[in-house]
Amino acid sequence: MSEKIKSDAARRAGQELLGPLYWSFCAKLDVYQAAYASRDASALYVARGGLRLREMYGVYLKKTGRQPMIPQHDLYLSRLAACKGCLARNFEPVAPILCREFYGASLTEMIRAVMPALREHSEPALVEALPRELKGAKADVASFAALYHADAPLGREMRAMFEEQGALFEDYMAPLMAQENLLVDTGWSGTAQLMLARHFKDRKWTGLYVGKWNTRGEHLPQFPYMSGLLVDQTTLRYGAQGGALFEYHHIVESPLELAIQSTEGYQRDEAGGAVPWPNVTEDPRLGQGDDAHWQGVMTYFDTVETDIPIDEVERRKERALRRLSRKIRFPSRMDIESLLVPPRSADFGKTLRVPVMLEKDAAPFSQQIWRIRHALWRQGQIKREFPVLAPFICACYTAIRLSPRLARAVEQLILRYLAYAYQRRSR
Amino acid sequence: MVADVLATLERNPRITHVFADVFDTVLFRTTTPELERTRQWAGWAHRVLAEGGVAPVPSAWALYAARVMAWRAAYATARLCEGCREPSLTDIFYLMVRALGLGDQAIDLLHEAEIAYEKTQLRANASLIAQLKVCQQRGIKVIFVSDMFLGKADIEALCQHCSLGFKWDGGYVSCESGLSKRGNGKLFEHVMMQEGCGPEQVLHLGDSRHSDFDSPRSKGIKAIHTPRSLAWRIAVSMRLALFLMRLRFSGLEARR
Repeated sequence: MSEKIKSDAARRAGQELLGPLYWSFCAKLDVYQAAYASRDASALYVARGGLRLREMYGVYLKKTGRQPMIPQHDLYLSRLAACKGCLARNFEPVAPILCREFYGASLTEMIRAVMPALREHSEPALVEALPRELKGAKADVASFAALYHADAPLGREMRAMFEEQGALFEDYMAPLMAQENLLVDTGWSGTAQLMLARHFKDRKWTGLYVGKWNTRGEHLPQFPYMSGLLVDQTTLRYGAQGGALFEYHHIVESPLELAIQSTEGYQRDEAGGAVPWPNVTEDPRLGQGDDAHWQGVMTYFDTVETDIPIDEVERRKERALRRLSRKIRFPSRMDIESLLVPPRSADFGKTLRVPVMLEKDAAPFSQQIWRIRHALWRQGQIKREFPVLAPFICACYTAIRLSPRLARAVEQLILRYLAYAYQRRSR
Repeated sequence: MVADVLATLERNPRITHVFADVFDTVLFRTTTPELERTRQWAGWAHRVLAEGGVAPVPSAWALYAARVMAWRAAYATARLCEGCREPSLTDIFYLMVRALGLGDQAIDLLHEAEIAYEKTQLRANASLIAQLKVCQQRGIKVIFVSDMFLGKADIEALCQHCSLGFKWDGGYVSCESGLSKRGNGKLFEHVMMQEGCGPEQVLHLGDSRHSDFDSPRSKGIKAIHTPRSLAWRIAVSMRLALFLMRLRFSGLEARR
């Protein structure tokens, strides 16, 4: 299939499926913000996803002839930047969040990502600088805490960096914050919101997200202060509104993601103020990202009637959501082309690009199962691997996922099978 | 279920205050489920807005969709007070007119429609009211305590319309105090403080297992659970299922 056809299909999906969803999101965002009209509140659009949400909301306001009810600001923040800004004052709650970002990585990899000044150092030089007991350590809370509190040059340098970042972060946030702050972002579990709430305890932090969920039943103290305007669920239910988005949330996330680098921290500008680092506000790529889907969404925003009544907004959203759910759970070949998003990039400057689906090859059955298990959109991968049986397999997959216990049992079976197949091949 | 308030009072002579929930306890609703009531109310509101000179008047479905959206937004964004978020009807209507792009003058008309519609949906629970009257004759204060977005004055007006035949000695609603019976039950503490009584002096009645029974008991208050009949609850569930189906056919979100 030619790139032109693929791109047109993606643009049409953006217009027909995502456009109505985001228009409904904007209608709700407007109503939620109106609730704060008489309060000392401001809306903070969290980069990167929030920047495009703000752009959409701007078009919505213009087309409906409205004015925003509270001040609007861009907020250049990532989980890493929030961790760096909050860690010195809140080590206990923030360190596990930071370490979770580097799950499976080595301590030196983590140090390099966290401390840009050390990126030029060679691996042996960095290992040399570590205290003896931490050489070869994984990036977990224990090793990170040991290094952070160590009376060694690297530990001292790290503490100084986190303290400096803490001060810069507070300077950066000061002009943006009101007494009540509404974070507008894609979602999903509000980690940055939690850190902000812990760090700026005298302010109130509320999240207005595209979606929120907690299907794993984790302890999320910020959850009651979050609203998922399109998806708002704690458990996976087949018939629930937007439930299919759990299974392929990249389709709503990717069009919002700009190609700019994620904020890694803060620095002083020439005037002595605090600005994000890297400072991407002038980046020419600021308007770029998953363009086909995004262009489709913006085409919808540009062409939608201005006097569309609110019930019709909701009807169109429901229709689009049902169609999208069907396409996610039971995709056709064409759906794969139209809904496939570009490879996902890991956060904060990591160069790792994760494709949503893996290319099919002539590998044995176990490799097909492995690819399905590792795909970010599993039903799409199922269709790619087993084109004829896909509807039946996807139906089984959906049914199994409705029971967490059954899903865990099947997952274990698949893992055992993959281990067995790997051993047999290595013999 | 007929609550035996008087027998409980005889067994507990220290009780000086009877707190009562209002909706589905003192005032019975019809078997119309809440979502369907919202749709019916939207029809009333459509007429009231038209008569009030609002132009263009949103359709009944638009009023319904806006109210559902505003209701969710209001409960998510109301000021947090002791762990509770309790918006008032005015808060909900304020967000509703924003969703519909109407002027603020529509709020009063929507409020008028709300009270007019509620009056068609309520009737007095005669057996309970007879017992509450006896309580008052014995010098026991009878106070309503409700988790509701309607204000105290609105609830009193609805009670008057239903000809209760007695006057409340006081009334407290969640939207005015910002506290609720459900969750942490802070509204009970607030009412007891205002009335100057302790938990051992209070008997509470209500239809909700959690808000009117478990919650007051956790505060040391004696409570009687007065659920609606099983037949009524089945009828409501069936009507709700039918209405959700209707919503689905109409293309709107079918969610409680």
